[in-house]
Amino acid sequence: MLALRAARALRGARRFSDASGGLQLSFAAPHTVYYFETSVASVTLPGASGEYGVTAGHSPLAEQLRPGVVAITHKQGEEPEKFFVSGGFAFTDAEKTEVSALEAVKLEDIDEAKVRAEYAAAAKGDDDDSKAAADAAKAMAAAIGVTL
Amino acid sequence: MALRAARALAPRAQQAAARRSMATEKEIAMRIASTKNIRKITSSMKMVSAAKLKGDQNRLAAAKQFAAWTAVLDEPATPLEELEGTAGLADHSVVVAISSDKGLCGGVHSAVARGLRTINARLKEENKTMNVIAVGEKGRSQLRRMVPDSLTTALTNIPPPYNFGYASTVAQMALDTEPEKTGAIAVVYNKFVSAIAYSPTLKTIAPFVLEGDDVTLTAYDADDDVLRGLREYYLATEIFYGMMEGATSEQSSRMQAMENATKNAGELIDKLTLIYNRARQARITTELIEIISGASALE
Repeated sequence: MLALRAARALRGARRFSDASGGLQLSFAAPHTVYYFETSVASVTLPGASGEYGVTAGHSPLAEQLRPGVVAITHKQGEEPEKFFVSGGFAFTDAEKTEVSALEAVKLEDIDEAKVRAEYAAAAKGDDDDSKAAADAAKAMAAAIGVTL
Repeated sequence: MALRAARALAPRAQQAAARRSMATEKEIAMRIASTKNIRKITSSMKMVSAAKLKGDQNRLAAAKQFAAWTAVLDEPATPLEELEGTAGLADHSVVVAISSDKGLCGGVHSAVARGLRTINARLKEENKTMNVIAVGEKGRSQLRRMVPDSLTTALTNIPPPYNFGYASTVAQMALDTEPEKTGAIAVVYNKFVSAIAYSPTLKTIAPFVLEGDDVTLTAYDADDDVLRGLREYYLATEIFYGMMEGATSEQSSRMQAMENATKNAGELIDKLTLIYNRARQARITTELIEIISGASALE
């Protein structure tokens, strides 16, 4: 009984923190979890039909992601933390956003020379896989401010 | 296994001891030496799996959070023991059975194969069919015997740890297997419960509903293109998650199996040492009797 009451109180407390702490973000790639139910101010996602921003209280939305930049603003007014994702899906509702990426790396970890080499290798082929690889390399280059 | 060998060995050794004590003594000594080597191997395998288990558990923890979003879609997976009937499997389903290429890990692979045999029998009763895709050589070799008619594809010789790319390939293969007939796609894997327990589990991925009142993801605003892509991604995620659960169960089970084998080898060594000492004692006594009776004959 006591445990039940404690659980209920906790749940209430959590709802309260949701309202004050902003958006609950989960952001993970298969082998790495970057954030799990962490409070952030807002997040910008590279949706297949265009980039979109999410803050707390967003209407429910499921969207596929294209290769691009996920920008997480931890506190209002701060510089966002940027990640490159190669694709995936994002689910948003009023309280939380779950971003499931195929592959995600911090923007500052991207090596320009390697991106160029990757693009050069992928541009040679003409099947679907190498086209996708070329697109991803292009998006990665754009994310770090290089045009290929 | 080792105990059985010890039991079989003991009477033979005693008989032989009665026959030619010198040779058996040597024979037993050799056997002790080789059992000691086996114990060394099994105990180091145990330590290796203990170390690897750590890595597998970390990967599983990451995969669990990575797959957390699948909660928006549906019901959780069912343990095979609690499965009633054919739970959600359509007239024709594709089932992905997750095992690995490596053995010496107790009954993990058999648990998956036996689970599929049960499902297969139930499907037959209801005149339903399935295609089985076996991931891993150990699963393939058992399923070939247990569900010979349903096993269509086997993927072997992929070194662990499995990654998401591989899971996507398997997902693609499952989607490409008779897509016009397939109703549901299911994944069977061992769910890691604790370091000493795992439970074979079935996760069914029902087809997405794109039209009507009961559309998939009805609570979300999502268009059909997103849903089509999502099914593929969902399946790959579930297969990947199953692979991580399976790998962790396998490693913990191997650790357990190797610990048992080490213990059994130790018992065997103790038994053999006893037999060896007895044989040596018998030889010495015989020699003494021979000398004494020889000496007394001369008096």
